[in-house]
Amino acid sequence: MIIIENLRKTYNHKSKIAVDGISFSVNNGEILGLVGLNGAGKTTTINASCGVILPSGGRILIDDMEIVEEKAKASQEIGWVSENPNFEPNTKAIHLMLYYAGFYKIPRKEAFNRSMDLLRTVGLEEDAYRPASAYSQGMKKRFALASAMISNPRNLLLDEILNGLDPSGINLIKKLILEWKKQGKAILLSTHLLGVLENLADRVIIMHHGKIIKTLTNDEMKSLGSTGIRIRADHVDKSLEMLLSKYGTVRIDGQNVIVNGDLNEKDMENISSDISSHGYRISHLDLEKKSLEEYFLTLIGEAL
Amino acid sequence: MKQILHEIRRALLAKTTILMMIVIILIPALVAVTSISSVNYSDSVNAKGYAEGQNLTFTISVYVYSNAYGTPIFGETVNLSISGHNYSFTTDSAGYANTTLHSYNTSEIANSSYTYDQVPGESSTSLREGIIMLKPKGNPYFTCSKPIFDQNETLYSSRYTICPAQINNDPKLYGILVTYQPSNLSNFPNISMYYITDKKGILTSGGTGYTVYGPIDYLNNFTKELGGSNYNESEMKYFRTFKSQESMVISPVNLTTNTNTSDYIFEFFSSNGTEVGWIALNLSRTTSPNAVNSLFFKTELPMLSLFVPLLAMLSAFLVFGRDRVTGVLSTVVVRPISRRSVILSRYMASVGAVFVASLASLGLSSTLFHYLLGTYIPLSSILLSFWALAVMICGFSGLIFFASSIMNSIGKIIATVMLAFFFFDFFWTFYALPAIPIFVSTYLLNQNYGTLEYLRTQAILDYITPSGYINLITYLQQHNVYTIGLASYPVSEIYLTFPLVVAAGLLWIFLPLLASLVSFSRKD
Ligand SMILES: Nc1ncnc2c1ncn2[C@@H]1O[C@H](COP(=O)(O)OP(=O)(O)OP(=O)(O)O)[C@@H](O)[C@H]1O
Ligand SMILES: [Mg+2]
Repeated sequence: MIIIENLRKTYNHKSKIAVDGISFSVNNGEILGLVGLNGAGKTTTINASCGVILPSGGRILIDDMEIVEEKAKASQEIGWVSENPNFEPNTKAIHLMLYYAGFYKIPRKEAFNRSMDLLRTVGLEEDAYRPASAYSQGMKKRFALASAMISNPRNLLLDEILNGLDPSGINLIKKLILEWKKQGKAILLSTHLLGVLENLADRVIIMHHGKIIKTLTNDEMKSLGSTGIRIRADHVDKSLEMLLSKYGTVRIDGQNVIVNGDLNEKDMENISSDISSHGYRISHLDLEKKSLEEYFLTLIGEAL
Repeated sequence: MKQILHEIRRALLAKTTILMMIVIILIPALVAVTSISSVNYSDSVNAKGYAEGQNLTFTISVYVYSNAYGTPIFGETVNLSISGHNYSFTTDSAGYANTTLHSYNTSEIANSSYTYDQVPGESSTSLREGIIMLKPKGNPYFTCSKPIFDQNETLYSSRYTICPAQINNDPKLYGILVTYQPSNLSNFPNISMYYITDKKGILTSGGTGYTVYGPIDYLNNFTKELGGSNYNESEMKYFRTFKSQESMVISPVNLTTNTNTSDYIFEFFSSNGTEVGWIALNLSRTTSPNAVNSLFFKTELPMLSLFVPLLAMLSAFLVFGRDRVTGVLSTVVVRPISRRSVILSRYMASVGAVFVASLASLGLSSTLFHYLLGTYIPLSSILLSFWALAVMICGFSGLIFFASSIMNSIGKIIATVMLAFFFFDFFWTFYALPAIPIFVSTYLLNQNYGTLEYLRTQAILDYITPSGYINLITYLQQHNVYTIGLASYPVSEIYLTFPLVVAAGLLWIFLPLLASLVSFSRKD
């Protein structure tokens, strides 16, 4: 479990605040998505949470241990994939795995077997004896994930984990993440694409300029992502709303009425004839598919 | 523990570290070795002057040569004074200064003398020698010389001299400089040199054997006097034959191989087997620990104090600074280890690598000194300089660790390394170019070289940079007084007391490290 309380971070006296007093928690068995534009503060939040950088204020508890005060203990149950993984030059991947395993006092034989298993899992078995610093971008991400899992930690902080991965890699990692969720791990995922988190995250936190501007549940996200029908009629009243509510959720937006739901072309025809027969004149009717990304941008636009 | 070993191994095996280690180990040792000849051989000039002739016409021939190497000296002025008159003449490329005089009699010639500069070109060190009359007397291998000429002529001087000399191919072995009447004058019969190892201990029982001047000394008579048994001269081995007018250094290398003694008896015989004379020589040449020590302090230590800080800083950059900026360090920081342990283990690794290189360099040069000169660098000097190097290594490493913990770009850290190297090492303390101390005391403070104020400024400057630590301990080595030019000052007058120097060392070891520890554990 990861608990973040009022986290603040300013990199140096010249730069503006990167993370501005945010609080949230990731429960065991939960996948939490952290979304935001470039520079929103996602990486800062993740890095501070796993003790790689020091916070300027606030508290971070990893399984109830404070990451700054009890660093060595709190780090025991952290698995971290950095945004741009970089590894020691000229050291073979398998040797790096063994080196990392040494921090957890894993016996050498077991460490070797576990390392090889993990490298196999992320598809790097054949590259185990190559220097990780010479891996491609996607391979580095895979290796970073393997190295994060060497101690099978209870909390995972994955920064842009799907970035730079090929489609099979994306599927693989999504599958692994869901599996780890089932095992009860707390998983914090960052991305700047909201869509990636559909069907994956239990909750999504949207960050902007170092602040949380919205928290969405999985269900809320689903409804956001659905298609809608936009209708412009000569007049909008309660009975029109009533009439349309059987097709989906209705939202009035000035002259426009928006019906959200699992709608298609056939529904559009039905709605069209339905309203006309009730005496409304339609000046505009179209099926619109509003993506999560559009929602996301609208939201941020509002925050500005 | 295993983690720290990994860090150390990694620090040691970085390509740049290996390259710098090679530089550190080889360059100072090479500098020391190439300077061995110049520092160690005290070369001075020797001369032999002969006269030959009759009635009032005499030819004078003075041979001038290096007594260390036996090589003839060209262009040396010889001033002959005879019956109140002076004549100057100069040696040719074969080392001979010849002249013919027409108005002096035998007695005047025999009482004449000449001077020559013992150090070429430096008339303050001129020596005076008497002219030797070449006229044969009795035994053709000997001649009489000035003080006893015209007396009863019972004392003779041999026409040949033998003394130890330097040979270039082995500084641990003396060559033998043989001169056999080196002049352009008459020839005399050849003599042959025979040798045998001194198994009977003539050398150790006090017979130095330099029986060059004086009456003919027969070897077996001499050993009898010492109470030893006779050498069987027929067991002696032939070495070589000399013509008169020769002067040369012979290398005893062939004769000393496969023997474990360096004490030899050389005996000279005429072509018909007459014993002419002998000499006992110890051919093994050792350099005194003091000489090796001063050689080490003058040549190797300055090189080390130039390169060791550079290696320390580069290593600190490679082991800590670069990894921190590129994010490689984060893959370690995220593990269950405190930030303090991360920076400390990296520090140990970096400093350890340079320690190893410095120790290897000291060890290698000590071994080289022993191999070439027969003497190790004194252990106390090794320990003292290692302490000084340790202070420099920790000081400079700590500075770069600190810089690395507050800077976020590789460029900035490298610039800091270069700046620190040129400013606080190269221009500050490198003996060939100490631009900063000279600038500060001479131009900024208008102090004269060698004054107390000048020395105080130098000492303060040496306290300001870790690379000055070598100078501090070098001054302290001069015991209680520090001598510069003709003036001497008590070291306490120039702030060079033992407790102060030790305190400065401890400060340099711990302060920069502490600063980087605090900065890395408290901020990003
Ligand atoms: N090392 C640093 N020094 C100074 N400022 C930094 C540093 N790292 C990040 N920042 C600043 O902090 C803010 C948040 O950056 P952060 O990397 O956390 O954003 P992000 O949400 O991860 O962005 P992205 O989607 O591009 O990865 C930005 O304004 C950034 O410029
Ligand atoms: Mg980021």
